[in-house]
Amino acid sequence: MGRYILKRLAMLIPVILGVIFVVFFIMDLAPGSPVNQMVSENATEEEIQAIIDEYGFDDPLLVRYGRYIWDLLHGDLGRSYTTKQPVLELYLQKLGATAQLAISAILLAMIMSLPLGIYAAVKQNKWQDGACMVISLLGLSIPNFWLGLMLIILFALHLGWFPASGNRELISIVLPAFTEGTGLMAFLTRTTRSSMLETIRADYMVTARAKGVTRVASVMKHALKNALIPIVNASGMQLAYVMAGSVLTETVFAWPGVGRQLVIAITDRDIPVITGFLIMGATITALINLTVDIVYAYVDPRIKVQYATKKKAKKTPKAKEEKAA
Amino acid sequence: MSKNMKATSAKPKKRSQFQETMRRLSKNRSAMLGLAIILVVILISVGASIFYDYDTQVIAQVGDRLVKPCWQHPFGTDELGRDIFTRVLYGARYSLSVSFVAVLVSLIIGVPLGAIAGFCGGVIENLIMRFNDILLALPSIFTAIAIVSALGKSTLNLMIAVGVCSICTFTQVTRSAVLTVRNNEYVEAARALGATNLHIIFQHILPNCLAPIIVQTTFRMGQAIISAASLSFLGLGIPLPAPEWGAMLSAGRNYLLGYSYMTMFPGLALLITVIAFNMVGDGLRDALDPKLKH
Repeated sequence: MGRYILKRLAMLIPVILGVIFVVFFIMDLAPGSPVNQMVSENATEEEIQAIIDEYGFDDPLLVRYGRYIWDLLHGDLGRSYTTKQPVLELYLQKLGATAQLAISAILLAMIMSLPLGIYAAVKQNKWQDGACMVISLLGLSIPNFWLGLMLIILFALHLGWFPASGNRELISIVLPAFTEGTGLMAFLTRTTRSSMLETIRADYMVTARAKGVTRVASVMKHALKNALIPIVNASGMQLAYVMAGSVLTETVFAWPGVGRQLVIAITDRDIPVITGFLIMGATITALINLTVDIVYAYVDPRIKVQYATKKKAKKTPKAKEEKAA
Repeated sequence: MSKNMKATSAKPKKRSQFQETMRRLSKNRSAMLGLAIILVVILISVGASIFYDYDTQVIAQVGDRLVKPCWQHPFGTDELGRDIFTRVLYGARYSLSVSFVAVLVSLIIGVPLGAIAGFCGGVIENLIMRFNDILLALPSIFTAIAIVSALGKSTLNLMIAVGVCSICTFTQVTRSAVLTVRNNEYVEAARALGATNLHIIFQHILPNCLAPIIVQTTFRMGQAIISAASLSFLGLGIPLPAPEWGAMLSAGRNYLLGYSYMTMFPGLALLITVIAFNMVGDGLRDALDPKLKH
């Protein structure tokens, strides 16, 4: 197990390096020199040249990339062009609000999706199943920024139950969390349903019922426990995704998180902030995904066995097919 | 059982896979509804310029500002006095064309990459899939934002940004589909006949991998419409004053109190179109692969 974690961590390094390169490459495509954001309009040639020399804007892409990695290893993601604040510091400042939103959203999604998914699976092909699937289809299709606006109109402006924006009091998380949670709920409901459908038909369910376990107890104790692993896995992946920053929800609700700061940085063309935030977002996503995988392996003994035999199995094409399927 | 077998064997006409899929799809009511909605949206986006002339209907007719929905303006008018109904109709073509081109871009790049990765294996597969990991590591909205903010705001850049985000999905889907068919007998037979790798991939392997790719394409169309509208909402999409749904929502944000219709109708149009694509996607998945239908 320890070896697996180390191996996975080592595999993460090239991915992060790749992400940094891709982000660097994309940002390099931007027309115009970043100097224009940093100097006043009537700056002299010498002043401009001094800034170019200081930041090394004239160096080739690979040199700047190498320098960036070197700084990154020292915990330095550069400074914002506009506020001169260190990017890492700014990121950590904003991460709290994003984490708060992400965790509330995923909890809300799980609370909504578990009963829906279980109910849909139990009532498979009946109208109740159809209704649950319609709810999940709606959640999957609704653009969350529009949902956010509609919630603001109804619950903040007309009914006045919740504040429309910001993060001043505890209650202000309700609308953003619901907005962000709806999409996650839709996906989790589908995962729960299909996972439950698999376990509900298993032989041990028949055994349990034959032993006299009630229908509800058999579903909750026997089927759900076995169906939980893919559900937990899917929730973890979703959490990783929203932890990177929910740009749209944060923008709609003026939530002071990472996503909104990113949009502000884009408006200001503040390249170090954009680059740093994208890289941190990808890193956090990757780290959470890795944690989920490790927990997953820990919980499910079948996967642990797979790791032990992975080396041998990898050689045969059949194992590869199964893995892909 | 035997009755059924007799009945099918007695029938001289055999349905092709396409006909069989269409038969199953046509029995799926929600998929048919979705398809009908998509057709209507396509008709609107093509026909809008035939029935309405944007310049004379919207620009020249600019009248009273912020009129609530009424007989003359079914969806009301916006802050500049433009008729929202006509703008929503015109918005369909932006959403459809952007998502269509974006998905096409990701198909053209993603499918061959996935096919090569699955077919060749080894170093090539590793290279492609590690590159895919990098794209997957960046949340797709981040990638899209980065691309548009670097390349600048334009319709083409929006298409590229949304398209690049879906490449990794298609690479993954194609690769796993290719892995399941590449060891089949007909591939071996083709190789024994001396077919080149390229011929085998495009003539024998890809046609047998189409089902998951088609399903994914439909879902991605819906997703691309949302992504494009999201970017426009953030001010990174099609430049103003084009009647794009996301941009209309963004403009309506300043008039939420009292003028909620400004945000309601473009959003509804967006929602209905995306639902339609998702319904067809679900239906296609069930029709193409009944095994998946639980």
